[in-house]
Amino acid sequence: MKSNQQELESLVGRKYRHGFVTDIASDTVPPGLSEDVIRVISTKKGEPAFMLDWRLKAYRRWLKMTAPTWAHVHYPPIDFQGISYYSAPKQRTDGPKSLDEVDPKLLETYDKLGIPLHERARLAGVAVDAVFDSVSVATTFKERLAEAGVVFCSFSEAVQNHPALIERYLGTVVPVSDNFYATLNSAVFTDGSFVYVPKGVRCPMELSTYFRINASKTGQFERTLIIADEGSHVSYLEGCTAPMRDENQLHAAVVELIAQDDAQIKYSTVQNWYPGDENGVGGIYNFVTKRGDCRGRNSKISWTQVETGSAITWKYPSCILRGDGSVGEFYSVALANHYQQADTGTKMIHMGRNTRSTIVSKGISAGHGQNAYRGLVKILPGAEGARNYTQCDSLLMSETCGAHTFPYIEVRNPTAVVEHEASTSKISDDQLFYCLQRGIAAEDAVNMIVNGFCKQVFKELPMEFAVEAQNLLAVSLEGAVG
Amino acid sequence: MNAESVMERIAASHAGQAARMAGGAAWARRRELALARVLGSGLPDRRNENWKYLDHAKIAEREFDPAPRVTLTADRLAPCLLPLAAARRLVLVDGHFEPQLSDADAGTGVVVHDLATLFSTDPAGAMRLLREPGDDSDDRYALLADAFAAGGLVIRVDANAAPAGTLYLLHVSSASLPGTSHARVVIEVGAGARLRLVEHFVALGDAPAFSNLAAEMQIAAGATVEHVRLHQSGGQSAQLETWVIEQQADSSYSQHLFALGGRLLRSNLNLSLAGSRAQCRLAGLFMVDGERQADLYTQIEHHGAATRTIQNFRGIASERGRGAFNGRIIVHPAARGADASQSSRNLLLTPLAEINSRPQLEIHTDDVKCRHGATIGTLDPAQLFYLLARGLDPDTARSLLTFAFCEDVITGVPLPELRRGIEELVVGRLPDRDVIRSFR
Amino acid sequence: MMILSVRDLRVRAGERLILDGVTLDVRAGEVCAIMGPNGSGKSTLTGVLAGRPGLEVISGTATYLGRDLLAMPAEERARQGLFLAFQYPVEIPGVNNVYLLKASLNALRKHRGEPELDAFEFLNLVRAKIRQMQMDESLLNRGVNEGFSGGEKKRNEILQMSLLEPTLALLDETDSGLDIDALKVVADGVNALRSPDRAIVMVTHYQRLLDYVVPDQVHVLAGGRIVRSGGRELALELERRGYDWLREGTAAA
Ligand SMILES: Nc1ncnc2c1ncn2[C@@H]1O[C@H](COP(=O)(O)OP(=O)(O)OP(=O)(O)O)[C@@H](O)[C@H]1O
Ligand SMILES: [Mg+2]
Repeated sequence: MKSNQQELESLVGRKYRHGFVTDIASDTVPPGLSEDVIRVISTKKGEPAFMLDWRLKAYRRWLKMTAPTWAHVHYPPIDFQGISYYSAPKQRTDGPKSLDEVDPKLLETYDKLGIPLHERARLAGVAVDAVFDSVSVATTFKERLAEAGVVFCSFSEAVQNHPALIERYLGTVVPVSDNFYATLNSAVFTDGSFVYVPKGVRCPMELSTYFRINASKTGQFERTLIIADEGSHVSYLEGCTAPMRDENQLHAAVVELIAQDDAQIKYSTVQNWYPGDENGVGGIYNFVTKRGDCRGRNSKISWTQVETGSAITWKYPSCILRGDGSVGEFYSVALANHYQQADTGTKMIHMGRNTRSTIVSKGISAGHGQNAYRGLVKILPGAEGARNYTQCDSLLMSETCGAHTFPYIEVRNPTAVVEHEASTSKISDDQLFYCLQRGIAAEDAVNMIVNGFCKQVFKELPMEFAVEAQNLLAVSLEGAVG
Repeated sequence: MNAESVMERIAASHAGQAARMAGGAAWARRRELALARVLGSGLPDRRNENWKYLDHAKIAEREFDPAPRVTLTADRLAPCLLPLAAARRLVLVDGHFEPQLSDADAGTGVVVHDLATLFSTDPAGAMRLLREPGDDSDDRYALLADAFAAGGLVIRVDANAAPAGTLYLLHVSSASLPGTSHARVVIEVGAGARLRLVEHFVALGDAPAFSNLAAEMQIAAGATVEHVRLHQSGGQSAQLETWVIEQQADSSYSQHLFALGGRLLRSNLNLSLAGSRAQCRLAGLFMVDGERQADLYTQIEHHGAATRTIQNFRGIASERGRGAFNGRIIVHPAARGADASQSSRNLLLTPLAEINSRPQLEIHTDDVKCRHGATIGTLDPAQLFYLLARGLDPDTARSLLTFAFCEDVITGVPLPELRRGIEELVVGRLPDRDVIRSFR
Repeated sequence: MMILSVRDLRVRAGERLILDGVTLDVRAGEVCAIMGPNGSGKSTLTGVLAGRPGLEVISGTATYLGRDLLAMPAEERARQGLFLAFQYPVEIPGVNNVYLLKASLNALRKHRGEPELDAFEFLNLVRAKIRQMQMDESLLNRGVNEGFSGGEKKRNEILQMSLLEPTLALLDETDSGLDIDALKVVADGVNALRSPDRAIVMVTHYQRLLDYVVPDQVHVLAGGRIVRSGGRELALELERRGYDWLREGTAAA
């Protein structure tokens, strides 16, 4: 198999495709964090008083907190005073009313990224909110959504136009003091997406947000809040990219999902932040808190993620299964190549009766990548008849990589059934040889095998993105096999 | 509970005993240093991931002074003894070796030293022999034992020796009065030697005693060790143990651990597969009912190439019992061709019981095969229905399935008479035990 | 004498209605065959009669020897002489096969007011039966069905049946997966049980078994109902024509 191996090794190293920088004038607050900076952000966004109070409360909490150390990731301490907490492309004061008002350079950026914002060129049936550095630059399809009663806009707009909803729901899933990065986000978040789907409405199209970090020395702190009212359905997708820079940039987002009775939220992520180069220089620190609250009976929240980017990923999209009969799902592909580190997984907290959860996690480690699955399945005493099934597989593609599995299973109800299975192995020489013997090129063979390994997760993605995810994986793995 | 903090009470207990402890200045210094490290870092608590499921208050409330030494007669022990034919017995009472209760001859090729004697006669030798615990929180109780090091055993098995019969190491907690005992056990198994060791933990009284065992075993190349560990202490006893085992090339180690007694048991095992092709097989069973708690922690490190682990742990919790399995397998970069499997299966039988399981894999190279599985649940409804459809009583059917669940661990116990004894103990802990007995 | 009488039985599993009004009579001395396409509810019917958990009776009745069958717990049904040979016998590692046989037999005997067999009598009895079944004696000391081949599992079911001598035996596809010799052995076992005060219900897909164990009645279950009943010639007709013509028939009816 030696020759296969060598051939595979030579496949390494296609470059990050989204690593260009958009040269655009920005309105950037100088680096540093203080109550004044927070006031500036709040003023720039013209926020109501309750928002400023909320931010300041979070900031004061944060000052007393320390960064978590339990994750299986290593990085030098972050200088929180060296980061700029607000950066926005310069534009007319009020923000764009339509795409025509958006700076053409920005539109070009999104075109290059394959996310054309012009509606006629957009992916069929997908509404896009584009967040550039700290602010939302455009949201497409607003009218059509409005007809259905669906609110889909930037977070800033929602604060202006739907303050009651914000005040009622913000921070009810991820409390201000939840964890170090979530608290920091609560203090300084600048924009993000907001979705409200009213009672009984099936959102007529996929919603998606595209996050782009452009400015250097900035952090991106966005906040997403999705509320699915009784009996409603919504599918939401987020994508992320950043330029190649040899500094590390911080992305600390918070996502809150709320599903009322019989509501369903499907949240998909294709995360492709700049991972750093093959020597581990640069890349995004992706420290994200995502949590869904199945508040209502028979509600369902489903997380699907394909994580190929970031230097360090630290995220555990979770479900609180509060409503009786509610369902939580987590499907994940996480890839760690070169010097990437991923510590990701989920938490399923079963509180209601007959709650069910499924976890499928596929980790791929290559180069010096370190990939850890960390998951908590907790069955509380009231969760009569709860069920969980967890499957967690790791694929190893180099001698120097690492794959780790750290499940926590805590059960306090004797009628519950929890099953966890995990396996770790390298790409089988037999499988590879079989493909090569059938005349398939090594690179294709590896892609085929890796895709097969991830299939269970890919099939959960909305159609439009499943192909994108596959391609992304192929690109990220180039030169990784060895 | 005592109003003083745990650390103050430990320090006070130490101050009260230090002058009486043997080993001269060097040992006095070592104990002082160990104590200072314990006091500096404290005992592990719930905030520590590896200790998060343990009821630390149950330890904190214990009396840290030693209970007065008791003299036991062989008659007193007789009812506790396991029926092991041709076994050589070694007895520790509250951490102190009792030659008059033990067999003088531990078998051909086996040398036994009383640590208490060694501290006086060869303090430097004892210093070399006893591992100095590290700063890791997993080693904190071993460090505490080091601070109080006074008694225990050293067992050496010569290279290529194959002592006939079983070495029966009985740990007795007198438990007539509250108190803490610390013990050290060091076992060295020479190259190519074979050892069968049965460790048995009993308590004679009902007092809330706390026993802290720090033990280590060196298994040289090509040696084979079969180790059965049976915890059967009385209702109030709390036991903490820290085992450190290192295996050299081509050695083989098997352990069957039964946690069937005591108010609280925390068992730490840190096993290193240092040499190539070393292999270990670990099986464990905890049964916690009443208010009992068992917390089994294992860390297995694969360093050598082609090393193997098979781990199979089972747990049953009922009433207000709480059980935890916490097992980490680490495969280091040099351990190419390592193969590890880990299984943790658990039954939760009643509403107030609790089980936590953390099987963990940490893999640092690609040429490995590792898998783990964990389940927590009730009895399989399909199996239950099958038995009911054959006319069995629901209670009988449940007990039978519960017992069958344990069988998987029990069947591997090396000695038939021991296996039957353990079976009987397990059955004795089940509801409807008479019916199951009729089945055997 | 009527052994089993099912009236308009409707049964749900999970969210799905599976039996939608089954009516069936089985008299003493009868052998009745139930046939029907895959997924039509045959195992659901035998299961609900034996008390399988997870099946919800919505309406209808089942009377066994004049008593309300559905009100009895599963073990009570077994002790009253109702035996289910499972389509998929479950494996129970750790529970010795022979111990199960003994516990089961003694539970039934006790119920009938007969003395329990001692170990010696029991073993003689089992040995005789196991020879009849042409089974390997080593299967006795393995876990219940643990690692048994498909055919071994089916024989084990019939072994249990012949030991327990039920009043009503429900055989769910006991003929599937058997080699030709085994089929003969199983058929002999079933025929040996035939008697004027017992009844046998056989679920099967094949005429082959019915060549050996000739049924008095043949019922076809489709879409959760008995759509056709007849004598043994119905089975032959099904073998020739399949089920489609019956489906058309139900649509018309
Ligand atoms: N718990 C359940 N939830 C939903 N559907 C179920 C459940 N149990 C059974 N079914 C469905 O009910 C139908 C009837 O199943 P059943 O096992 O009774 O069929 P059968 O007639 O025995 O089929 P076969 O000939 O293949 O053995 C099937 O379609 C099956 O998938
Ligand atoms: Mg069937």
